[in-house]
Amino acid sequence: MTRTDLARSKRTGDPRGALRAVEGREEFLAFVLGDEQYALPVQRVREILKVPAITEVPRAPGDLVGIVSVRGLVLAVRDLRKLLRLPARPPTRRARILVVEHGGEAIGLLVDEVRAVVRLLPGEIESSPSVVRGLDAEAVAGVARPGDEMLILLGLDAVLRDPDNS
Amino acid sequence: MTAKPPAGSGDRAQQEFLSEAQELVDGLGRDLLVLDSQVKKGGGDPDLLNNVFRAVHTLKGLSGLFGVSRIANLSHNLENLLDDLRLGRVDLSSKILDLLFESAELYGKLLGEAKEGREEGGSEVEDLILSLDRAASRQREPEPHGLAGYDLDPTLLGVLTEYEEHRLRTNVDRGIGLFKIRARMDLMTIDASLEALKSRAKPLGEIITYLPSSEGTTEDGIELDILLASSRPFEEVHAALAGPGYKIEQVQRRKAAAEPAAPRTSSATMAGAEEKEPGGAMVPASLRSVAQTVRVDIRKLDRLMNLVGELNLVRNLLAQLGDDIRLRTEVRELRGELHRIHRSFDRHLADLQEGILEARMVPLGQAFDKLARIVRQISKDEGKEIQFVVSGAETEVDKLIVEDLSDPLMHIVRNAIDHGVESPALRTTSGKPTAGTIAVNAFQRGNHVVIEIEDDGSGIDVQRLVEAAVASGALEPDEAPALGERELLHLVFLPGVSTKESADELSGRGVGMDVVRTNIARLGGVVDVQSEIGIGTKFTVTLPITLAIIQALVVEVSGRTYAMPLSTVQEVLSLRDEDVATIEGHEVLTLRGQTLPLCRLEELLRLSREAPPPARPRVVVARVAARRLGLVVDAIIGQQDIVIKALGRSLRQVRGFSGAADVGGDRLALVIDPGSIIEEVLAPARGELREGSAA
Repeated sequence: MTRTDLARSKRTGDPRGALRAVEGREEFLAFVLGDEQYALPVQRVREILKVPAITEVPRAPGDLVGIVSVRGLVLAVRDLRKLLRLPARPPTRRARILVVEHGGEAIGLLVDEVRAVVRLLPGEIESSPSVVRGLDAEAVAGVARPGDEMLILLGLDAVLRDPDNS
Repeated sequence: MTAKPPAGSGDRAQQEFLSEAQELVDGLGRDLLVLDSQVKKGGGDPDLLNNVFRAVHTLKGLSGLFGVSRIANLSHNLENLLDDLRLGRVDLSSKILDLLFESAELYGKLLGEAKEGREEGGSEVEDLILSLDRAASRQREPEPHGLAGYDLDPTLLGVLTEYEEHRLRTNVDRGIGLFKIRARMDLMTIDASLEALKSRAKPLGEIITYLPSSEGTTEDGIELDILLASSRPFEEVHAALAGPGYKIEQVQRRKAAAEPAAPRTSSATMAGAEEKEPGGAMVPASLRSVAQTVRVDIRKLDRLMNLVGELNLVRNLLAQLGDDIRLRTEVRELRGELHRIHRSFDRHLADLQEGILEARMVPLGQAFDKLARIVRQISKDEGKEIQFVVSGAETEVDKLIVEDLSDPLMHIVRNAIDHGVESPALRTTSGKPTAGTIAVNAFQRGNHVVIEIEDDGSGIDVQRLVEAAVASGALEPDEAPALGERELLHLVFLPGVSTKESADELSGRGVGMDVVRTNIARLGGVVDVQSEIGIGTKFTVTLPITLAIIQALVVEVSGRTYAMPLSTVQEVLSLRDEDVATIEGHEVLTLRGQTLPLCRLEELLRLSREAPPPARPRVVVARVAARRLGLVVDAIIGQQDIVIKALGRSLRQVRGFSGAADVGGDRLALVIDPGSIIEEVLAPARGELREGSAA
């Protein structure tokens, strides 16, 4: 649908046409944690890093893996498994760090493996999070099944919310 | 409290205002100093007076905009006085100059208050305004002037502004010659031509006005009549200004006879106060300026932008190469290229870092200008004559260091005037020139900047220093004979030690040289003193050029690497188990008769042992202020310069570290903050409390 289509649908008062044009498909980055696939909106992910040598920070909160240097800046890397209260597992060669933005600061999230970018239509996202066992309802923004597999869409701000400040 | 910045103007705008106002006030102080020295020689560059007028005018506008009514009020009244001064309605006397200096100091104080968001009652502004009014109301007697004696075009005289007419009269009254220059200028290039003419005319004298001539204006050109006042002979003026399309003539006097004009000098030197009226002026408590922003030379920023461009190119190359490697299986040949690109990237990045550090650098002159004002004021209050000589003002250091340096330098200079330089009478009897000299000299030495503050006063009386130190309890009487000359002089840095018995106004402020030393140590610097009785005293301050790069000791604990600022490290010892004693469950070491508490970093930081324990651990003796702690580490790796990177907000609760740094190797090293570790270890009750709440 082009710009003129949108203009025409607005003019002709076709709300469904306008809706399709405005919302379209949203892109998510799918990644693996343990046996499940999760996803975050692509625009929240600034970059994907291979896991460099991490410096542990003594007496830091338990979900902090450590710090790494990204182009001269210090990036705190947090373990997404621990943030989601999933069982711990040492990172493999496929592990990656997703650099996301939260509260005006870049934060690294350690994940087991990055899969692909998935395009979803709004209708494909189920809002009911009750299907996901063992996860905080707030941490789950929705669930989608683009293929045979289930994709758990994470609510990033809820996941990263500082338990001391909330 | 009625006057607050407009709601929603935001901190940023407020910061901008404070920063700009501070710069204006600094500039004002500088101009006044030069003006002061000129007035003493019987001159006074009108351009300087105009600068001061403009600065005050801008301050008035700015402070009005931000609702800082006291500054606006002061500026309004000052502006009126300055207008009278530049129009010659009031003479620029030393009394008025004093009021102007006082205004500059008051501005600094008001800005400080505005920064802290308070506006105090106080009547200083009103008092000063009253004095200004009184000074300005003493109208100058109309003086006879010789304007009629010149063969000037009446139409020209008719269009002069009041200011221009005043300048013309002033010059004529002084017997300075007048020249008329008729210059033909191209309309396309008139701005540049005019500027060029002005800069050539400036050394000769003063341009009174420039106006389009009544005839000779064509479509693409214009003829200007320029009136120049100059004491130079016609030949010299002609030689300096002559050019194609320029016609220069001397304006003839109708009557003959005129005294030769006294040559005006516009060379500006820093001169101390000569008046000896005591009291009156206020001495500010702090010279720290309010502004936190750095204004950067645009060329330095251009250089940074170019480097960023270079880095973009390199990054694109790397991205391209990454794609190539993914597509091809024979990767080996590409490896060399990747290595070359990587090296180039590193080189540009190092340049970029250097450029950014350079952008933070400002000349020390910013701090020295303020010192000159203080010297003028204090010497006047003290009835002493001081020649203040500055060299090396162009030496650059980090902006933050300049800021924190102002107060320590001010205290050293105050001490030099108060305790060092003798009264004029005493100086005369000891065969010295009546005016004492305080010389400030700055220069760069390697990665450090050295500032020397030297006076030609009476020198430090070591015997009296010892007496004072013993009296204050800082020194045991039997300790003194064991001290060498240098150590004796260093007693001056002990708290509560002063060689002057009376708690006079200056030393009564409770700021001693011990505070100076502490403040300079906080900047990673050291201060030293040399003195000779009857000859003078020299303080030498040595500082790092930047705070962003520090010297660090790199240590290893349980297989981890940490860095420690070298400035806090006193010494490093080998730890022998037999030397360790336990007092109340805490390990201590006896070091040269003193008890040194020990802290095993491995235990404090709860590190899992990943390397076998060393046979002979090391103790790094860290000292912050007066407190010492022995940090037990596995090994010392070495010393190196490091760039400290901030840890970011998400790690702000983590104790014991001030940042991270690249110390070589493949991972970052945390930078230990000895201050917070000493605080934590030596105040255990508080430490446990915090730990309990965090868990």
